[in-house]
Amino acid sequence: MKRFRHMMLSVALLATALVSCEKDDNKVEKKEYDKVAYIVNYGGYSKGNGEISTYDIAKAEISNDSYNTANEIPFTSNIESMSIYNDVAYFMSNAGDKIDIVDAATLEALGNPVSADITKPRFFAAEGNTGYISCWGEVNDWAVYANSYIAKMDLSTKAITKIELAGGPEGLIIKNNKLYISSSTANKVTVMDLATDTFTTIEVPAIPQQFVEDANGNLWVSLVSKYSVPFSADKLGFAIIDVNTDKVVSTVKYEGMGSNGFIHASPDKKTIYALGGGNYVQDANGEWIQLPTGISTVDISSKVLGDAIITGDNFNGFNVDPANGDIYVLVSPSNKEPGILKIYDSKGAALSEKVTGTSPKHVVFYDIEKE
Amino acid sequence: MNVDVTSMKEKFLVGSKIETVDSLKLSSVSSGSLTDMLNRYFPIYVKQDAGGLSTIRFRGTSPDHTAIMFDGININSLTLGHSNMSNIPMFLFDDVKVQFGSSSSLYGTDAIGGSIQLNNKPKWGNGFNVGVEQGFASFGSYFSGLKLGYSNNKIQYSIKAFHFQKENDFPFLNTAVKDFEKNKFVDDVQKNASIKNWGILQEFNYKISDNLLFYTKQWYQNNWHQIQPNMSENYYGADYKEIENNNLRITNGLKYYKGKHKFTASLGYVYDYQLYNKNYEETISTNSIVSSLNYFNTDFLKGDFNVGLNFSHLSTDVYAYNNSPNEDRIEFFSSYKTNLRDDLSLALNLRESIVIDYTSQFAPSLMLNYIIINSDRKVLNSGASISKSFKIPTFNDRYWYPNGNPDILPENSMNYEINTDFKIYNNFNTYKIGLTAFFMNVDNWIQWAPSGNMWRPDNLAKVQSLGAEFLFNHTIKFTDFIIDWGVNYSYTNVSEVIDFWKIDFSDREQIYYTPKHVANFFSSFRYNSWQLQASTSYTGSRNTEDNKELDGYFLADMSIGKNFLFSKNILSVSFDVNNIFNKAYQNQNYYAMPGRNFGIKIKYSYN
Repeated sequence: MKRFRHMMLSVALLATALVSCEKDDNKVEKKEYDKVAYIVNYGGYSKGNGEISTYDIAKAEISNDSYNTANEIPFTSNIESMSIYNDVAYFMSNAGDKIDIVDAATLEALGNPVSADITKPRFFAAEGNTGYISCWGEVNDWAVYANSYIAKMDLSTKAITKIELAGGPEGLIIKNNKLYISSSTANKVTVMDLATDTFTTIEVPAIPQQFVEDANGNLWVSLVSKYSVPFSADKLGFAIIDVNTDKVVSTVKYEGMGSNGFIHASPDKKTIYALGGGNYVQDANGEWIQLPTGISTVDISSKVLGDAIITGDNFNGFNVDPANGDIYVLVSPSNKEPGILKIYDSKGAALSEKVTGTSPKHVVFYDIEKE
Repeated sequence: MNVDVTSMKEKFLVGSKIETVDSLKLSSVSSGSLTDMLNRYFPIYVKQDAGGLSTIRFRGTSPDHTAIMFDGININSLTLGHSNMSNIPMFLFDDVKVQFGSSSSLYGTDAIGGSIQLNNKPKWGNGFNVGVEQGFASFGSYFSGLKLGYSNNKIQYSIKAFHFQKENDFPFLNTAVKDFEKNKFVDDVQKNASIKNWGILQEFNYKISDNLLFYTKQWYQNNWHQIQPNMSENYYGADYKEIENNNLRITNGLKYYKGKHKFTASLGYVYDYQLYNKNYEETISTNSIVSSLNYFNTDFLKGDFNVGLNFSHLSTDVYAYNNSPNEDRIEFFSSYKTNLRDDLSLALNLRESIVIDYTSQFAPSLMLNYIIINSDRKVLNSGASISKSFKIPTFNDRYWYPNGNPDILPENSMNYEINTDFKIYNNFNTYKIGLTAFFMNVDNWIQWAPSGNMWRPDNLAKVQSLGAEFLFNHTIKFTDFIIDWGVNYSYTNVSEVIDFWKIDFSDREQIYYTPKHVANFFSSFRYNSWQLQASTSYTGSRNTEDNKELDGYFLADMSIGKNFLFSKNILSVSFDVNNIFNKAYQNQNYYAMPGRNFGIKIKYSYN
C-alpha cells in the first residue's frame, strides 16, 4: 500500500511537471530586473579617488566603491561622466585620462581602458557601432580650448579617430543621425552629420551645456555662463531646438541655471528639471555670496519656469528615475569628504538619503536583468 | 660680537624645546633639502611627494603654522602662507635650529606649531677657505656646490652656490593601474617629476670698530619642478604641469655693543615670484620690506631685557587679485628674563602685531625653567611655558578673486607645554633624555573648502593638538672613534573639536595627513678617517581626505665615507643607500615614491 502511494505521488508530480513545461513553452518569457541607480563620484581632483556607488532601488541600499569591488582595484581617476549603451557602461575620466569600458550589470572591466588619443574626455554618445566622445584636449586657455575634439570610437576595436572641434565640446546627444554638441566657450550648438562628419552650428543665447529630449521630440539645451566666458544672467536658461530644422524654436529664461547646466526630463518627458543656483554673485555691498542650490521645473507646453521644488546647499548633480519620477539629488559639501544621495518624490517630498563616495556628480539608472 | 639677533632672542625661550642641528648631521644632508634633514633626524612629519614639493606638519598643525626664519625674517610665502621645504637647501646653512611649539611672542605670525631658524655663523680670522661638493645619485640626480670664503679679524665674506637637478624617473609598481588581460598591476616609470634648483647666498660682515658691526646677506634662488602626477595620471596621461619660483632675500644691518647694551638695526627685502606652467599672464609676485630695531640689555633689573619694533611694508602683484593690495605691519615687542634663583629662571615675552586697516594681535608668553639637579655629571632640567600665537591670513585668503574672504579672521592658538631633559656624562659617555608634553588649541583654523562650484577660505574649525615627544641620545667619544646614536619619537593627537575644554577622545578623528606616530633612529660611527651612518625613520598611518588610510612605513638609509687629509686639504668620499629595503610607500594616495636608490658624494675643502 505504501509503495502504491509513492507511485501515485510520483506520477502526479511528473504530470504536474509536464503540464508546467507545456505552459512555459507557450508564453512569452517575462524578464525580471534589479533596478539600480549608479552614482558617479567624481572624487577630489588628482586625488585618485573617483568611484562608483550602486543604489539598489528595491532594497533601498547603497554600496560604495562598486568599481573596486568588481575589479579589485580602485578607480583612481576623476570620473567626468558615465553612459550605458547596449548594456555596456563607459566611464569618461580625467587625471588620468581614459575611458573605462565595463559590463553595465557587474561593472567588471571588459578590457583595459582606452587612453591612446584620449585627452580630457567629457561625455559619450553612441549610434550603431560607433561611440562619440567630447574631449577637451590639452587646455592652455580656458576661454579658447584650441585642442579640443570629438573622438570617434569603433566600439568593437576601440580604435579612436579624432575630429578637431575647438571650443571645448561638452554634452552630447544623437538625434536623426546627427550628433548635437554643446560648448564650453561659445553660444552655439555644433551639429555633426554622422554620415559625413561635417559640422554646422546653431546659435543660442548663452553657452550650451546639456541636452534632453522632450515629449515632442525637441531638444532642450541648458544655457549657462562661464567664468572665463561670462554671459549676462538674462541670457541663461534653456534653448529649445527643433531637430528637423535645427533651429531654435523657443527659449526659457532661468537666471539661476547652474554652471554645469544639468537638466533631465520626467518619465513622460513633459517636464524638464534643472539644477540651479550654487553660483557666486556679488551683493549690493560687493560681497561675494553663494546662491542656494535647487531643482526647478519647466512644463514643456507652457514653457513657464516654476519655483524650485527642492532646495538645499551644495547640490552637485541629480537625475529623475524614469520608472516613477523620483528625483535623486546628489549633495557634495566638499570634494574632501563623502557626499549624500537624497531621494525625493516627483513633487519634491523627501523620501530617504544615503552616504555616497566623494563628490557625487551624476546618477545613471539601469535595469539589471535577473538571472 | 658674533651673536646674531636670533640667538640673542633664543635666551628668552627658557621653557621651550630648541634643538640645534650639529655639523655632522648637517653634513650628511648637505646636498639635500630641509625635508631630508627633518625626515632623518626629527620626529616631525613632512608630507612630500617624489617631485619638488613638501610641506611640514609640526605638532599636527598645518604647513602655514611653522615660521621659517632666515636671519630673523619670516620667508613663508605671503600668498600661500608656507614654505616648500624641498626648496630650502641645507648646503647654504651651517646653523640650523628647530624650535618646537608656539613662539609668536618672539617671531610673530605663523609660529604656532614651531619655527625653524636658518643662519650661518661667521668665522673670523680664518683666512681663505674653499669647499666643493659633487654628488651623483640614482634617477638622474646631480648636485654641485661651491663655497668660497675669506675672513680676518675685521672682515668676513662667504659665498655659497649650488645647482641641483633630478630627472626622477624611478621605477615603481603602479598599484592604481591593472592590466585586466594579465590580471596584475603594471610596472611603471615615474614621469613628469623633474627638479632643477639653483641658488646663491653671499654674506659679508664688517667690524667697523670694536663695538660696531655691519652685515649684509643676499640669498637668491631659482626653483623649477614639474608637478608629479598621481599613478593614474602617470600611466594614462593627463595635463602635466610645472612650476617655477624665484626668491630673493636680502638682509642688512648694524649691531652695536657697549657693555651690557646691545643695539641692532636691520633692513630686509624679500621678493617672491611664481610662474605656473609658463603662463606669463598669470604670475604671482610679492615684495616685503622689513625693518627691525632691537635693544638688548644683559643686566636690566637683574635679568636680560629686549625691546624693539618691526615695520614691514608688503606689496603684491598677483594676477588673481584686484588692485594689487598692499599693507603695512607694525610689531612692538618686549622680553624679559631673570633668574629668580640660581636654579629657577623666568621669561616673559610680549608682542603686539598690528596689520594696519585690518587687525591686531597680542601674543604673550610666560616661560619657566627649573634646574632640578646640577651636579658634576648630571643635569636634570625642566621647563614649562604658556604662549599665545597667531597666524595672519594670507593674501590669497583675503584677496584671491573672486574666492577670497576679506572678513576672514586670524588664527589664534594657545600652547601649553612642559618638558624635562636629563643629561648624564662621564669622560667618555654622554646620555641625553628628553621628554615633552604639549597641549595646543588653535581657534579660527582656516580651511579652503569647496562650496558649490567655488573654493573659499573660512574660519571653519577649532583644532586641538596634544601629544608628547621623546628623545634619547648617547655619545661615546674615544681618541680614535666616536659613536653617536639616538632615537626620537613623537605622538600627536590632533583633531577638530567643538569645545576645547570638553576633552573626549571617543569620537575624535585625526586630521588628515597627520600621523599620530613618527619616530627615527640615527647612528653614526667615526673611526679615524672612516665614518658610517645609519638611520631609520618610521611614519605612522595617516588618514586621507576621503577617509582612506595610508599605511605607516619604515625607511632605512645608510652611508659610508672616508676622509683623506693633506695638510689643510680634506677630500671626503661617501656612498649612500637610501630606502635600503626598497619599501613601497605613499605620502599621498596613489602618488608613487622612489624605491631603493644610491648616491656618491665627493667633497673637497681647504681651510
